[in-house]
Amino acid sequence: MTPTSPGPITADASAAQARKNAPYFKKLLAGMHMTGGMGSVREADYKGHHITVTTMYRVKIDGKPFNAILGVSNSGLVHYHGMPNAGFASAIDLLKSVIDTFPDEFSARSQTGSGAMGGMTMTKKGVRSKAAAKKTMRRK
Amino acid sequence: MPVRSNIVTNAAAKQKYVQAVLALKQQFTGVTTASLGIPGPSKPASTWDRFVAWHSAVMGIAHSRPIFPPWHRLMLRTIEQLMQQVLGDNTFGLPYWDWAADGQLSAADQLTAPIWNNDCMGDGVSAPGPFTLAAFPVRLASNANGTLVQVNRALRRNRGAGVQGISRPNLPKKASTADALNVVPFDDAPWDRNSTRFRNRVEGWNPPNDLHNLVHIWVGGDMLPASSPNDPVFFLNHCNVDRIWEAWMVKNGRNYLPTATTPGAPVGQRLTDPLASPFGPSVTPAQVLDMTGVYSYESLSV
Repeated sequence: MTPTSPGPITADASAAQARKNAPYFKKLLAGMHMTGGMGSVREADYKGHHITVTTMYRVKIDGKPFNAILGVSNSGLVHYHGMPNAGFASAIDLLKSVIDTFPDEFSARSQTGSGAMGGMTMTKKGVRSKAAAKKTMRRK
Repeated sequence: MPVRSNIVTNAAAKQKYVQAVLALKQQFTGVTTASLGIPGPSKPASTWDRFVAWHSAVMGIAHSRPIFPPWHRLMLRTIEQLMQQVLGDNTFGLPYWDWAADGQLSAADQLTAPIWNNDCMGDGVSAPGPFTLAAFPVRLASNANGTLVQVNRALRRNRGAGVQGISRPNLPKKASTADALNVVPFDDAPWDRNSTRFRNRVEGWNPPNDLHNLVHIWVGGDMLPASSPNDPVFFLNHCNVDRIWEAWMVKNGRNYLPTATTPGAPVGQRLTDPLASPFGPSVTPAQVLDMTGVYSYESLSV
């Protein structure tokens, strides 16, 4: 396997080549594991005034904290790095999609109420009480 | 010199692409999950799987940012050369999927377009076409927290279903790709998904959930998380994005923003900042703006 083509980009699949900058990519990949923290900051200037909007979400699914970082664009769309190509009109839609997209982590439950919250527990307007959520956590 | 052609009209390119995908999936050169920094027991990582890890690692710096087009050009040209090596054919050109052509079809016909034939990308929701569990196991995938973890399962798709709030989407249309060519300059502050310029237009944030992003959403399944290079459709999508970028540069000039001196430009996103590769030396966006001596497209009609 030797680089064969012209141009500025060369390709070598060997382990020796991979070792050259492995620490850099391991560090980047570790950064993908980071959760929680700063929140999303939106800024705009309008008629000489500077606007800053910081948004933080606290999310639980089935009573368990969901710590991935959700961000908001200036248009109000919600996004997160777990599904990096989609912008959602609401965090609820985003989290329903999380459950749909990662079926190995969210086993199927009763469809009752799925039209509204799909079995999701939110801290602000939860469909289940905090006590129920804690009970679920203890069972696990 | 490689000529990149439409996968649904070039039978030879289609056959070679599928052959090369399966070969790279089974190519092991001594790289392991441990050496990539992936948790769990150390297992061999194939060349294909390494692209999944590479893409996942740079998710935060090569997406929703100016280097989105040049970084993916680096990725495409890298896998094109590795495919040439396993095929023993230095003239092989990565094919593209002209998804906007399929976007002109009805929603039902989009699902049965030729790209989904079982000698191409396959029509199944699990282990489609040539990508059976035995031949093409998914070994690395992002979990809900965005962490890349080890798995062992078949490739998944959910074509045309969409996600919550974006249900039953259609593929992008020709009017959208043609319009993108008229958006100038290349990028602008704030250099992220709030930009109103070409890069953010073709990436699919402005308007939201369009073009490149919409294709990921439309295909669904493994195309949704950061580990989306698991799906061979990923490279066909990005080859078309690269083709659109090339058409934009032919029309508007081979220019890129931010330059090295643009005030407030984010570090790592400027014209002469390095783009790192696990498969070779770093290159800069400036070095990949003109690839006309390296490969060409059979058509720049987008």
